[in-house]
Amino acid sequence: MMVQLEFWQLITLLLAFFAFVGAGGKVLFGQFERRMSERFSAMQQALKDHTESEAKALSQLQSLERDLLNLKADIPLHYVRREDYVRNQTVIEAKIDAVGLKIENWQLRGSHHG
Amino acid sequence: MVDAAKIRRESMRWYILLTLQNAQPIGAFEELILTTLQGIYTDATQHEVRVQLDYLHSRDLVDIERKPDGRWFAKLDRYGVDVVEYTVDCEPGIARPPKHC
Repeated sequence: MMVQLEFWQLITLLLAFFAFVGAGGKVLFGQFERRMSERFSAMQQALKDHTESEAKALSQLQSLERDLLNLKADIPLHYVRREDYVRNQTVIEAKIDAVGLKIENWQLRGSHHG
Repeated sequence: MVDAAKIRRESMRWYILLTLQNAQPIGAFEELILTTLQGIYTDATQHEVRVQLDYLHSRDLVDIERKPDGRWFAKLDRYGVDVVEYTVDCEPGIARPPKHC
């Protein structure tokens, strides 16, 4: 089979083909751009949410740090170290024992002399 | 004649038991026992503390845990608690004073 075309027909055909390709490309790029802009806006929203939650977490962290510093400042006012308690208590008990022993000796000496 | 060394070591044993009684229910590291003893005997040494702790351990009064870093951690055993609380009689070797109150 042989197809014969006039020059102007060939030009028209080519123009029609390029117009079709151009239109198809435009539609395709349009869709591509729409999808990209959707994705970008979604990412922008996610970034915004993340920034907000980050700022919130940071402020919570700062208040926590402040609370901890307050606690550290208050602790020495309200509590005695366990080691200090054990040390003092033991020394006091030892002294009481020594006093008790002394009293007992005095009593024995007194009863002995009396 | 008064044997000062005997009085010292037996008193130390009692003071160690007292310290551990006050440190209940956690127990205490030897450093705390040493600083407590130094409040009574200023020249007490770590070696003395360890010797007396070992003695108390051999009498089942104290439980000793030798930590990997070399420190000793001591805790009163149930029999040790009974001795400190005057629930049971105390055999010689520990200068437990008579119960006065």
